[in-house]
Amino acid sequence: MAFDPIQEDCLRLVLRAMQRDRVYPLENQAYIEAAMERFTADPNQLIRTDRDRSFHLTARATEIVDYRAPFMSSDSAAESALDQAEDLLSEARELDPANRDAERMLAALRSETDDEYVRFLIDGQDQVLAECRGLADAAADPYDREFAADLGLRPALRWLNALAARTLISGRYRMALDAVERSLELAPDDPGDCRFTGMLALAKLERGQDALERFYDDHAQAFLAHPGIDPWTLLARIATAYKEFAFDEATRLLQHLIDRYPRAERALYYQAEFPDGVYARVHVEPGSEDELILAVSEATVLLQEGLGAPENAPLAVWLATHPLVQQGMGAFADAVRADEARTGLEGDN
Amino acid sequence: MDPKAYLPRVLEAEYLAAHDGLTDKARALLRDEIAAHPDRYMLTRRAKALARYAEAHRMVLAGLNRIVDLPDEEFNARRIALFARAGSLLAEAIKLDPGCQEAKLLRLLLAETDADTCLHDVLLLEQETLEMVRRRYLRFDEGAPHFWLAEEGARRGGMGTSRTAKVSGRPAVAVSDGKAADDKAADEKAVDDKTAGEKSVAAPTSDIAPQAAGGQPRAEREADLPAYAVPPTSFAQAALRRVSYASEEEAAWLTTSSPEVIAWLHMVETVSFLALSTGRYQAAVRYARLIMRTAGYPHRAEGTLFLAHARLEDEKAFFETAREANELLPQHGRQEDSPWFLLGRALLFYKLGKDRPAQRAIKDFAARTTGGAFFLVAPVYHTPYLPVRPEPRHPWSLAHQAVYEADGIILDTPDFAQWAEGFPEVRAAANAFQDKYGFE
Repeated sequence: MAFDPIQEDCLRLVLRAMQRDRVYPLENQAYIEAAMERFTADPNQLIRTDRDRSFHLTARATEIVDYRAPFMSSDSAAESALDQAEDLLSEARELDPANRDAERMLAALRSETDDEYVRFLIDGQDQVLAECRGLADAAADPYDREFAADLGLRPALRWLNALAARTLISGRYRMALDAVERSLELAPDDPGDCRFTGMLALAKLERGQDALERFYDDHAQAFLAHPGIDPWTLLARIATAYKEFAFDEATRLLQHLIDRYPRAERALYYQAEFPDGVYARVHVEPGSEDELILAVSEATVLLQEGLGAPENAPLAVWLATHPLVQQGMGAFADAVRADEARTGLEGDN
Repeated sequence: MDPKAYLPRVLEAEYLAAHDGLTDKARALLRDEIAAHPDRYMLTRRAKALARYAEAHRMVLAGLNRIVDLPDEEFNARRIALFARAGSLLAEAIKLDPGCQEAKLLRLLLAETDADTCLHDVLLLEQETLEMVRRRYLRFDEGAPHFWLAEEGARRGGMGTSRTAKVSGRPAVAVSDGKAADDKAADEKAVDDKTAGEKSVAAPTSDIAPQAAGGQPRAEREADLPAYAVPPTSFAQAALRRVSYASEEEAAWLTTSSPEVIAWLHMVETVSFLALSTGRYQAAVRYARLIMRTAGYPHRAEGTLFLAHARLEDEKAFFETAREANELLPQHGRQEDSPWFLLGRALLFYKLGKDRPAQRAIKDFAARTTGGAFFLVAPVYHTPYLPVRPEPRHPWSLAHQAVYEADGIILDTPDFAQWAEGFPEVRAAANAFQDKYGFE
């Protein structure tokens, strides 16, 4: 799920290699595997055009911006990493002015406010959509057609997904929902998981549990691809129940979340916040603790609302101090103590 | 509603209940007498308890106004002492009359628990109070347009059997003598004779028949959330029930002379405010809508509606509220000039991404409110409502209230305040206000 920049870089380069080598049909497993191995050994072997290199640099910048900088311990290290990423993106744009990902990421990094970035995304969206849709008409061979059907659409999806995510953060929920719907129309299988942002927007607009269910049903194809109910949907439903004073229902859903996700109590207790992925939502394993942490971070807009926000907002406190979460935290603390005691004994030996 | 505005009415109603057949002239005299010597008319424990509550209420509001500008530490120390003094007065009131719901509400609010706990406690008290109101006032009905049914005869027989007694002078207090039993039998027959849709018209006639109370919301009351009947919409139902409701004037008298009803409305408003401040905007709307149906009860519930609809990005409901409030509440002036409307509209357009209308709206807000721009740019502490919006004391009071109530919505829209401040007109209005009124 989500967009994996390295994988996407690889797929693009392999497809272009097939086009050059006139490999047909496209499902040539042996060729693909060999090409992928060459990519793993050294991507430069496959890079031939400015366009190829431009996307490759974008993928490298994404590695830095979305997967490394947020976890760096010192601010100065993170800052110089971001400077490096910005240089890569600038070069990517020069190599291929039609590289919409690089253009967008640069705007994200350089915008002073969410408003500024949102304005940029709104102004550019029609053109990006037109370009990506136009690829299919312009496709002259099976390779271009394959590209137009999937890889070529992705920059437009990421554009819309960024618009949805940023309008959600900036308090414009209808606009977020609108961007989500357009993205789902373009790609009903929702490779960027834009529908999760839609769930959060629906909860912010307090459309009720029925509306959440309808949205789920309307996009069942995409939702069912996730093993079990995703944490965004569960958090949106918990918030909706909580807003309706349906505390028993909120507790039942919370229990469900805790049952489904490993160490869910910790994620719900700490409610860590990470910056949004600049390229796209970061890639995490469905059903993993990381996925829950990511969903909780994105659900900050729901958790930190109302009196006492940000630290003591009602829903944030309700979750962190809920007996189910507290019990879980207690159990972890016990386990850690038992672990320490055991290590201590071993140390004596 | 300020106790000093409704306490005389309560005393008048109590006197009328004990003295039959007062002429209009005698009643006017009585009113003057009560105004001149209220103490002479405080004969029941209920009235005495209310007077005690009124004193505590006045003490808290006046006390807070005196200390609001003190440094934090001193303010907190003085506030705690003030609340303790008020607390003992409230305890006295509740001891005098265990049904003094106003005192219980203020006690909850002075306890300064976190918003969710407070909301939970107020919701329980609200349900208890509603039950009490249903038992005490035969003619009270959440389904009626202004919460009151017409007098007995009209209610029971539909048309033709209406008695001519002047009900507007007489509170509909529950009685538990033989008459009640007669009424109950008659009511049961009436219920049998009517269609299901009309059943909610049947009111309880004594404490032993509370299950009929209020009709339709009974089942829903057991759910997580209290729900309320709404007036019928179909023509046939409306036509059949039309004669059964109290007139607006009558409902106004009944509401403002019934302290338990006032207390219930205060709780409904409190829930609405707390819902707004804990990020529950549909609930804020639902409870504010109840307040919009009152007659004779002073409020600015339309302000809550403007903010909640703006936050929920419901343009249609927002402007519908303006139209409705202009019609229902002409005493508030044109809604288009209200700070709640002006701020709500700016938020609404901003959130919907309607840039130009949003720009015009925020400049309008700055130009047409006294202090609105200043409070938006430099938030100023507002004492919490105890329990409802205080009467405006300054030219800027309403704008201050509107911005204070919108705080959660503004924070939820992180770039909004900065965006607003970016307009020279807004900055200039804030500075001019600051210079004129000497705010720091």
